[in-house]
Amino acid sequence: MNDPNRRDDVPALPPGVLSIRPGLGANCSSLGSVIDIVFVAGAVSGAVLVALTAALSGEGALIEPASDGGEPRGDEAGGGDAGEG
Amino acid sequence: MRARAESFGAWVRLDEPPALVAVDRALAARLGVDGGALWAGEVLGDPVAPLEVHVSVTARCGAGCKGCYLDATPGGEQPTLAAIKARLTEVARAGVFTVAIGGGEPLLRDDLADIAAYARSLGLAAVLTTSGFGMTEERAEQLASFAQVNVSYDGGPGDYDRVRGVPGAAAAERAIAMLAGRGVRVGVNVLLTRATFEGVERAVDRAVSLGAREVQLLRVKPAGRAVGLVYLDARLTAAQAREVVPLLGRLAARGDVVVRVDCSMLPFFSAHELSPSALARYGVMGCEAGRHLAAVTAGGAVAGCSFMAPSSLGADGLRRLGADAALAATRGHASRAPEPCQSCTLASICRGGCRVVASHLDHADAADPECPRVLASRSRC
Repeated sequence: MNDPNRRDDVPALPPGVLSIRPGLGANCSSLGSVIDIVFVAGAVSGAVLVALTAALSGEGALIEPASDGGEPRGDEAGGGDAGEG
Repeated sequence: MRARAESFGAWVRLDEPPALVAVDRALAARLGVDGGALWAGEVLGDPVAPLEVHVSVTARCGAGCKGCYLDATPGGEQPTLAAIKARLTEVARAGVFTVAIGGGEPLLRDDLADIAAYARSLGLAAVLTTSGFGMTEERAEQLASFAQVNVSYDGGPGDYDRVRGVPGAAAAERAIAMLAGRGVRVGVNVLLTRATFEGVERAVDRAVSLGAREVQLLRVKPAGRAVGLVYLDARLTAAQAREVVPLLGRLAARGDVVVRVDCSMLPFFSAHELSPSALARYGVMGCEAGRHLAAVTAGGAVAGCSFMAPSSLGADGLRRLGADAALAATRGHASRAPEPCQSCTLASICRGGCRVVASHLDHADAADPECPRVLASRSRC
């Protein structure tokens, strides 16, 4: 079946990058995901990929830890492959 | 950049253009992230904490919308500013990147600028959702301290009134224009209902003409006042659910507005042959309740999402969501999901569909009963 909504030509990501979630999560009730890229190649990715490549290209880029939440736990079972996109 | 170590590597936040990026261990290490014990073993399934947390700053609202998912009322609970700051501190400590401020109606508070400033001081990206009721030029100016403000906008007067049962389109439109006029990045949340589905593109046209830069399409969920017959009357028909993907394609093709879908919409994608790798590569997420998403109620309890019942945890529990039995069950649903979910090419992204819908219409571990693939499977039985 050739679905006219299917696109497999979305831009590749830089080496080491597993997935990108563009934009801000701007809704108080549910997790939103930008969907344009899946339909219109280049609609979202261009600026993000340029910024991403620039930001990630240097050794020791300035990274501020997002958490001081203590030892991360690894003991919770669960399915899924989040973040491994 | 801010980063948070995960067992797969790290999440990194880009500020401009805003994006969250998942990188592998090698790249994370090159960027200076210390994975510690997380990188000692194999890659685990669950994140260490949510990426995004919704914080309800009031359960008060006088609008009386018939489908309010929170059942907000004029006398609802409203935490103090000190309590909200304490919760935001815990949200930041957990390593969350984005906090979405909502209600009830947040504009009933006069300290939203303080809340935004405090969240920013913690390194959180703060966004706000409002109905627009009570918006003034002065309030719009104050809201400039949020990274984005979303206005609930379900179309012009006819459609808006049909969805909510109250006249509010004019207030929402005025709010969109005021915010955009003040340079605030503004988006709109549009609820997809069977009565107004055909008018969604008109609503987007109008919102964009008023200055909206983003549209987020929302599926109706059965919670609060939107349960039982109210929900059954509002949800999309099966035929409309199959038309969601073509609608998204048309909206994306406009090129003048960013299009987002909420986490409960992924089941509707099963009616079409969308590329799972493209969806995954660009971080499209299905039901992430209690994993990448959590909510803090006006009372201070953590829930898997804004539609779920509060858990036993407070905001200090955001890094151990699996410690609550109900949240653990929700987190683990995808691995137990029944057919036809297990054999679905979108399973790892959709994660079995909306748990709130499934729980209301069937049971907590059921397949999402409004998913076109599930409906097709059941019709063959």
